[in-house]
Amino acid sequence: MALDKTLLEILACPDCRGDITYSKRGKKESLKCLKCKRVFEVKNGIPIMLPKDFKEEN
Amino acid sequence: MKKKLKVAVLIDAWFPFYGGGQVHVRELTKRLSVDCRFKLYHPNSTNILLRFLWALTVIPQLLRDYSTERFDLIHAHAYIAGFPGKVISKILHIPVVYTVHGSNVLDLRELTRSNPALDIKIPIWKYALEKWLLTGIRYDHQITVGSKYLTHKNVNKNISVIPNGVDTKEFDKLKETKRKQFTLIFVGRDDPMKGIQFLDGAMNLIHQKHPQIKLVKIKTGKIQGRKLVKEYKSSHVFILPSLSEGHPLTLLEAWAAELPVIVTSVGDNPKMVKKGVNGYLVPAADEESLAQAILDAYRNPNLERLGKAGYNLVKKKYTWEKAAKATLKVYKEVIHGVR
Repeated sequence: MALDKTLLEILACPDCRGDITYSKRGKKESLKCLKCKRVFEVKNGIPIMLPKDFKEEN
Repeated sequence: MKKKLKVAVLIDAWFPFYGGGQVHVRELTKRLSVDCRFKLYHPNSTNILLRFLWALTVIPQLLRDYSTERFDLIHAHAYIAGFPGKVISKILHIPVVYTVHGSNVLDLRELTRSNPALDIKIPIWKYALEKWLLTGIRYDHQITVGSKYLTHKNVNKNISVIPNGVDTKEFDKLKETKRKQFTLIFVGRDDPMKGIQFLDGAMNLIHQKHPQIKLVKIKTGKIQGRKLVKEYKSSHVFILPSLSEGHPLTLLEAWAAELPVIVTSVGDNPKMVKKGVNGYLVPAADEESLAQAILDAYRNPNLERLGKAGYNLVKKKYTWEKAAKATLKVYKEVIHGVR
């Protein structure tokens, strides 16, 4: 399942609030922050956008 | 009656070829005609081989004219005209002034060194020729339109920074409504040095979200005067993604049209453009930063204020009258200094 492009309207970089752009190479989709250049994976149409300093609660 | 200074001006391309050097010479000779009498030497073709040939044939031509013209000095403009200017100066024992309008290849070599991913090849002969013409030959005095040039190695100690100007009155005369669609305007030569490939890349990125943002590209010289002013004034933001610049005329024109600007951090741009004050500054050869700046401008509620600040800056600081006065001062210093 591909990413819903309307999401791009509302998504922003969790680290620096920069704008997000979408790219697809072959089957691999990804998002990239225009400002800090961080790249985010997209798995089954779901963007994985955790802030760098995110810590899982154990 | 005051004795006019007689100046031979050498430039290796002329209108309809439209560049910063040509406009600079046209505007200065117009304003210095009270104090100076100019004779202009330029090839009639923009073909590079014919321009090299001209750089040789202009030497005997000017030597012949000297018997009647009795020039006080030679004013050569980058690039190739520096060579005949120096040769003639040596033969006639009159001073030669050389104006640098930009150091494209020197700047580009710096940019490719700091940005290895940048896939731009610089022919070695072009680099060697520009380096020799700009910093190898010793002119009596050099003028540079941008102060960034001073950072290169082996620059002539006798050098003055004389920025370009713009005539805000030409822009004030015309009132124009903004296009309904948010419009960016690019004005420049069709030259990889202008970074158009990065602008196209940035437009692809922003059109993912905002397909309604429009880009107008105008090749310098294609339209001029009122028509060009209209294009500037009906747009919302001026954008200049160049890889190298001296002191870009189009940036001054955009501000004269009260436009906020998005420009790359090259040449003297960082000295003039202040983020959030009169425009946006982005790294060269970085389409993502360019795209982000476009989106920031698009969402900026105070965008027009940036354009007004730019207008006030050029009106006060960058006029052809100031450039002419500073150039005349150089002429007088060089003539008195040599004789």
